Amino acid sequence: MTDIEVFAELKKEVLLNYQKHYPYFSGNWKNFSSKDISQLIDLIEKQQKNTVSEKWIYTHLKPESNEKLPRKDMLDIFSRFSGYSGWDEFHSKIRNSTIESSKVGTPKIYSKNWIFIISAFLILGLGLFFWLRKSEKKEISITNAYSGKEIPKDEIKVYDVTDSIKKNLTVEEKLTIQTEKDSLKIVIESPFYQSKTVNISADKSKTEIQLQPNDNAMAIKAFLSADIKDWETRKKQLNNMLSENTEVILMLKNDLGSEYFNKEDFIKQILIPTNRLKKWKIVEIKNEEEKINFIRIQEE
Amino acid sequence: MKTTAYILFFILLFSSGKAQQSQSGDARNSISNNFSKQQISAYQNSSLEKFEQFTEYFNLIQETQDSELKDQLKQNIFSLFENPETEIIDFFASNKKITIRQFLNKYQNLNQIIKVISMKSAVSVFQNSWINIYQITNNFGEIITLKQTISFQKEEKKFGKNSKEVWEVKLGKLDL
Repeated sequence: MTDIEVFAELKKEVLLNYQKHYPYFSGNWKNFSSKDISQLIDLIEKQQKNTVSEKWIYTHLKPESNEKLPRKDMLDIFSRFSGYSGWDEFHSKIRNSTIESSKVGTPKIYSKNWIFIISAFLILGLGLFFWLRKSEKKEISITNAYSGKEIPKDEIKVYDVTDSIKKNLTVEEKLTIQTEKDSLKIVIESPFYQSKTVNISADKSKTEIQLQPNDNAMAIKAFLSADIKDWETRKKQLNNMLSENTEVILMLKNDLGSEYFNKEDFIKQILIPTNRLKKWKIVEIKNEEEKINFIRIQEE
Repeated sequence: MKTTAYILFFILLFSSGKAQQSQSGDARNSISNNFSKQQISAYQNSSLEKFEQFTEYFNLIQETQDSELKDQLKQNIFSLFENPETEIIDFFASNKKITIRQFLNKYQNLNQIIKVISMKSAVSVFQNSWINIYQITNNFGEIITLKQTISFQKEEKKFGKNSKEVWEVKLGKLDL
């Protein structure tokens, strides 16, 4: 601590002492009025039997910062006014207390730093933990139970049904699903396969699921891309696999409208291959007593 | 005489009320009252696809020798149109109006092929119809421009034992 800084501390002490005599004063040197100056001069004169000029106070006490240290005899007067034997005692006490406080303060800063570092690590660790949990991927293999071939992901929908709430799960490339949970109960639905509920446990890296195909639905899918050959056979098959009450909804592109076909209309449509059929994709099939009674088609 | 005049007056009043009711009912079921521009455009696109299906079925009739398949294709074409008696212009020959049934019977073995060059729907829409405009070519490469009325209205459709009101797009009269 420099002498100027010690002097700044002395100025604070002088103000505190002045306040003891004039408790209504609650300001600082900046708003120390001419009345306060004359009252301080009187106090010093009375207590210290020394005189201080108004100019000296304006020059050395009123400014917020000082460039030069005042004369030693003046420092002694104001040190004594503040309860010390003189400038030397004030100077040494202030410097010692500063050193002590800095000695005590250092570990505090260190301990504060440690708390900050540990907290930051904890937050980062927790964030990383939840991020890793969130991005955890469970690999599933869904195959046709008869052919053993992997089912394309656009033919299935996977739902998380934990807590009785059905939530759509995104199936990513290579049939992986992203989940925050260690284990979960999923339902796989497809227009071409029978639905299946599967429990996926945390300890398994890959869960293999086999779906039973819905033969009628598979046949309809195949008919959509068939050529004209064997159209009569297909007509008989369609007549057998479709219920008399069959309702087919064709959802127009971007879901802007829909067209309805009954059994007769639908058979006519899919019996003969046309360019229009190439844009159709079956998204839902319902059965009633082993016959199809509802088909939803999306136009792409 | 007076009694007859009263009866006539009430009959007129009743029939004009009925007519008004029917008109307001028609307006309620009009295309613009039930569909947005985007939706109408989607159904117009569907009508163009139906015309394309008609040409594909027609060309298959020419290509096949299988009479049963020819009959099946005719049935498929009838289901695209309002009914088998819908009038179309005989655009391959006389430009006379004949029914779609007569047109198919006439050309089923004449190897006439329809090739579509362009298809579009008119922007303006009537109460329950609009006009499609096609450019096609015949076997000689002649370009023929055709206009077709497309009907789009609510109808009671049967699904076995069940039935429901649905909006149906049907190909109508075909003209030059």
